[in-house]
Amino acid sequence: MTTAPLLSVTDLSVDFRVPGRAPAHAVSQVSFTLQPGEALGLVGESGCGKTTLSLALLRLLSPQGYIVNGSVKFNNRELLTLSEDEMADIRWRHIAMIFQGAMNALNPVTTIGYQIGEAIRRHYPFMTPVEVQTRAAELLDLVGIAPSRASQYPHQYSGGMRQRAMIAMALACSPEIVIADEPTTALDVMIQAQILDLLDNLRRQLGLAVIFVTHDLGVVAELCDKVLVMYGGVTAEYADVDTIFNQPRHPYTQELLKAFPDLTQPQTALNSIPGYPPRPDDLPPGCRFAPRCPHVFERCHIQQPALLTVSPNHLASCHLLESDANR
Amino acid sequence: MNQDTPALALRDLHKHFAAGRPGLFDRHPALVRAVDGVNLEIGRGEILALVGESGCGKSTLALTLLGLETPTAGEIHFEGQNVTGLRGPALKDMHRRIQMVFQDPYESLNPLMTIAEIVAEPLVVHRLFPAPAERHARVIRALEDAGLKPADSFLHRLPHQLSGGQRQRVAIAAALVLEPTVLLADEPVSMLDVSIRAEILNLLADLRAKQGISILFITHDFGTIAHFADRIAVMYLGRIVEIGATAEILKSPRHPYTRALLSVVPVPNPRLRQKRQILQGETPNPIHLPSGCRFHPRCPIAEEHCKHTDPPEIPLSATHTAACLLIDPQ
Repeated sequence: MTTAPLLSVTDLSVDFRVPGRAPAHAVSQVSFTLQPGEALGLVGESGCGKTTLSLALLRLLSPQGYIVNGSVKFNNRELLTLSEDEMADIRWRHIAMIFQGAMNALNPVTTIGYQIGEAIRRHYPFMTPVEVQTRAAELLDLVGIAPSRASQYPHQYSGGMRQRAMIAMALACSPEIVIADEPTTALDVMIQAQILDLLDNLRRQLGLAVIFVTHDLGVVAELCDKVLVMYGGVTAEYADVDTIFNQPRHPYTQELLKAFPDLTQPQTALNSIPGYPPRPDDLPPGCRFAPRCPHVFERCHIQQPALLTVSPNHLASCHLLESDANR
Repeated sequence: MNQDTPALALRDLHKHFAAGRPGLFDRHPALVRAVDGVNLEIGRGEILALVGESGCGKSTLALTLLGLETPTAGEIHFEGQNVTGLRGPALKDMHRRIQMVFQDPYESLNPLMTIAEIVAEPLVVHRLFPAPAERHARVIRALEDAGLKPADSFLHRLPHQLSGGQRQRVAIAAALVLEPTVLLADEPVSMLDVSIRAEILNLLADLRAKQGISILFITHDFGTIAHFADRIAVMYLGRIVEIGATAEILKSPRHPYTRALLSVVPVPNPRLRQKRQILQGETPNPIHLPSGCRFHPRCPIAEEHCKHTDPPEIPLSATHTAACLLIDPQ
């Protein structure tokens, strides 16, 4: 089954200007594709570039950030060369985003219904106020909020409901892709389960493609089809979800899995990876994981490993995998 | 002192807050029953996990244990001594023995103080070891006990120069400097990267093993504590609904709330995608507690009598009890 990808990202690199210093490489040469209806997990720890990458897809980087090279094609149309006006038509209408912690960023002085209506009014200016209101009510209903609560203000909503309202907002213009950046961090386990279940149902119901940006491997294992593991701004490993969890090849993926608690294996002790992730303005010269890697050898400190195809549809960047890749 | 007396024992502890002020016409404002009859013991050198969702009262319970809130009713016994309602120097002395580690090491450390100042501050507050050499030695020891070695290299740094894991170690050192016998840890790893969480958990486990410190670990995440806690207590709307040894709770949870909480813990294996038992709605407002069993409105198996009868704690083994009317004591 090979349909044309909905989104195709090739060699995308993002730098940040640092006053008086060399630019920081937040994202380097990341490539992936997204099929209609697919759920991709973009996984990594803080500072690995996962949020920067997702903002770059929408061209919403902060002023210090800029795209160095690469291509982002949506339905075969290059997004990086579009004018700002053309890009604004793509944003929200075709690719929407649920921002990290955004449930705390709702405007406190306008109603939830009005805020959901804003995106609709931007993209469908011909809609009458009544039509916009009807659509906002439909959207609230879709995410499990009584439409009568459209006239309420954010402070009258609980944390879980605010996050549902954010999802309703992301779905306002029926986008093909939703990027969900840590959609459940800061929510309780049960509310988290409700929200993830909702996103999963919406994906099936509406045929949405979803990019889950998260550090939570459990979320990825439960919901995603494919996984891209990022470390220090580069792709560490990219494969389908079963391969990532059951035959991980990159040492970082392997160590990260051992660090994640598994209730089905309560006897195994949790692992920690010594050291901490590199900062984008202070990257090691060779492999970015080398300083923390249990299998490190000389070359890792000198040369950056290429992203190797270790088996069909399974990519990993590690010098140790060269013999597999050349077979 | 008898080593069998628990480090901390709570007897029928209540903490109610008035919701709003009494007015002219409303002399008796509604009560928020944040902690509503908790019985709990933490053994010496024990790691007890207290699990529950936001609003279940777990943080109020911790604040009451710290003496920052006065219990409405019930008793707190610390190392066999009734410390309920202690005031003045006696309260301060107890404070020294029960220390807290907060959730967010990015917010709990004063950004303008050096690490040495942060760790020494509790000694200043408690007017302990005023001699500079002694104070310095204790700060160094606390930093090393918290795994920040060599301690000298951290003394003059500021919090922003440290990683999240190192910051949480500083917060732990600031607690250890007072040589507490009980640590209350409120979600101490939830703000940290996955790859360094185990480090902090291992540090806490080491402190227990080497110094016999008892730990009350407050969390909403079963995953984190499964490898770590000796016992697990599950709290819902101000009450402990189930308590038992970690293996008992994980393998044979008996309360429907515990079962639901366990079923939604994500399993890091796509081959084991499980049927999540998602409870709808959120923890009800503790002002309007449901009648009978307080869990009945969200309970998937509730029966008619659950609406009328408040369930007693039913013993299931020497260490395991659950408060549910639908359990047959085997």
